[in-house]
Amino acid sequence: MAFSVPALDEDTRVDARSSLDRPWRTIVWNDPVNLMQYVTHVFRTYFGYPQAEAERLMLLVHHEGRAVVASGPREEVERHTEAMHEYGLWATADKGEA
Amino acid sequence: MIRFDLVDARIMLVADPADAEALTQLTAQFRELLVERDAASEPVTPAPQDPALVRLFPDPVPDDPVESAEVRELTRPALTDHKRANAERVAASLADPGALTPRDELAWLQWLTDIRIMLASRLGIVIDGDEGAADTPSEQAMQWTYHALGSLQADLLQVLEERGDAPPESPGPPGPPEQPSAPPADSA
Repeated sequence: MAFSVPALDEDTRVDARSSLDRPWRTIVWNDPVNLMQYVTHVFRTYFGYPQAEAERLMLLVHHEGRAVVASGPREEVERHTEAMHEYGLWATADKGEA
Repeated sequence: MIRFDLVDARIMLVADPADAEALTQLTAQFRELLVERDAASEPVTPAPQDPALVRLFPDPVPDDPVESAEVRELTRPALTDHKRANAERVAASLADPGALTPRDELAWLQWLTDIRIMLASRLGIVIDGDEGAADTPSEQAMQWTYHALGSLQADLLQVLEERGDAPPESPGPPGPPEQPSAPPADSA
């Protein structure tokens, strides 16, 4: 809770400007171990997503095999990815598609 | 029997001695696995080889081996310490059951995940729906434990839900942001 977060649309506009500036993303992948309610809990409590959005992302992971759960500057995305590893979620960071 | 009770907005761990002992043994096995990881981190932090470790410490940036190596170098010791601290905290609370602190709650949630990942790896549970190979009595016991710990985690989540208050705070950096840093995009 120590760091500030840019306004959502502000961030998106910057990202859309150039493929060179495209944001990094934290992706969570499906795995056979984690309980659906646990994954929802992590998305809700760590990222602060409302329950419905946390569930939507969990179901994306479950049905599509993965979901983008955060995007932004590289360091921030790597920090989120690391935090997902603390929770035992299978997460990776990548540079988003243009 | 091990369970979590909600008493005046606090989560109480209730554990009978035999089950507490069995679970404490598992925290010890988990810490042994982390020692293996420590050994694997010298000198250039190669990707760990044990499948359980591969899953517990995923390649953070698979598209970029150089970046990934840098990130691993930077973050792996703290991540290992975090997982070890969770296991130690769980063992400590099993030795002295009662009210859990918010940090204890987080340790239980995360460690139950980590230990199930370790057991799943041993049982060969790799895709949704796998039950794992459980031919020998010891594998059957492991499979039973895997499911029992899943139920225990579901119980803990249920109790947290019932309490309905703020989630346990993450200990120190990296802390959770107040809200997502960007709107999540759907995956393909």
